[in-house]
Amino acid sequence: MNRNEEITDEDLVFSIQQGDKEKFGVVMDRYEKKLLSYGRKFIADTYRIEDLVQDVFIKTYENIMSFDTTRKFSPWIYRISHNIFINDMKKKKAIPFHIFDFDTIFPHPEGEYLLSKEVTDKEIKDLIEKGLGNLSAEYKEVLILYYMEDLSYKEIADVLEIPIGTVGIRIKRAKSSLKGQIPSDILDK
Amino acid sequence: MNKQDNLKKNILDKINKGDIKMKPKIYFTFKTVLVWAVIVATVVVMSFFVSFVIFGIKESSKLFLLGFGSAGIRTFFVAFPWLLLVLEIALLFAVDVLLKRFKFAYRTPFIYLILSTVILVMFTSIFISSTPLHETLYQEVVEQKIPVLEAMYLNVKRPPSEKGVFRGIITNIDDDMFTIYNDDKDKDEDDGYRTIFIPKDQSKYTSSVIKVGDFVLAACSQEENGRCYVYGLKNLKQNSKVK
Repeated sequence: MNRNEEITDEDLVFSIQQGDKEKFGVVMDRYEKKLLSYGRKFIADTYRIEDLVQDVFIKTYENIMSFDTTRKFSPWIYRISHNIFINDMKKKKAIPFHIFDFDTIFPHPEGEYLLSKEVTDKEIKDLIEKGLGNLSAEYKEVLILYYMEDLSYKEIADVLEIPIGTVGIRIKRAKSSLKGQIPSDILDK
Repeated sequence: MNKQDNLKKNILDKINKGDIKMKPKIYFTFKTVLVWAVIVATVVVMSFFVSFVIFGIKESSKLFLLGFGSAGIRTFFVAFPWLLLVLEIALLFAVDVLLKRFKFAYRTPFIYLILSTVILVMFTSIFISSTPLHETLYQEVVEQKIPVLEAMYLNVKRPPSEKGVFRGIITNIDDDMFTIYNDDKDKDEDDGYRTIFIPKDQSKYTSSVIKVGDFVLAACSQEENGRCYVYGLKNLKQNSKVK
């Protein structure tokens, strides 16, 4: 096993912060495919996604000293990606601009919408991928982060900078939208 | 070389050449400190404005208008400093948008954040109101020491006389009218003698209730005949003397 594979993301970032610039290559190896796949869920133009992922890595490197290595790295880099993808979509008017995100204004109980991780099998991932076309960006994103990127509710809340309860309600609503395309026995597991 | 390696090499080359640089830790520390300084300053400004409104309402006796029936309530709201309230709401949202940069805030539903900020501002305003800050500033403005605050403070203690609300010492009482005299040393439109008429059905404003020498707040409405008929009266202080 390659020695770099044993090192956690957070330790890698710590090394970069200490001056080991080459370690940033390992970070890029680990996240390039994930971020390209994440970007594809929002943006259709492959070349544009590649440019944006490059921007994500540049921004990540520029801001790496602000990362607290006692926290998890993946939500942090997804947060940067989220901002870059969403800003690009806003510039191209691909998503409507909202001053207020009404889902984040009022409280939603955190535990009520928690799903069992057992349902995150390949079948539901495939179905979600097929059914994402009609979903709005905010619903697409929570499903991708939860089912495809395997982030927890707390991590998704950090990526999107929204309350944990809002993550739950968005997943629930997104699933309801997909209901027509996903067999009920899988949804109700 | 595949696309992935290409992107990686491209970025690492730029890093090694110094085209892409890490921002130093002090930059982020400074940014955080700056954001917090702006948040604290905005909360202080908001509290200052709220306490100023409280000071104005208290000093001008406007609060008593609420006890003068529907006409008094209408006058109170017409004379309310709505511009400050709008500014206050704008600052409230600005503070909460800035707070949302922090984990504790973005994980909190926005309504709770707004309510917490409002409570904090109310407490700070009450604290400021308990200090002589506004009275001191008012005196400084009257003495023309702070011209920049003149527009804000100069008329703060005056009841809305343009809306028919006057304050003064009763100098004379007749069957259907009384006269008040006011001199708050600023020689503006609410100073001097003013005759206020008592409507026929308002026998409660007779000499058995008000006496010469009482310092009163009187709200009246202008009628077509040019006379101002009282619809609300509050005795603020008895046995005052015209100086």
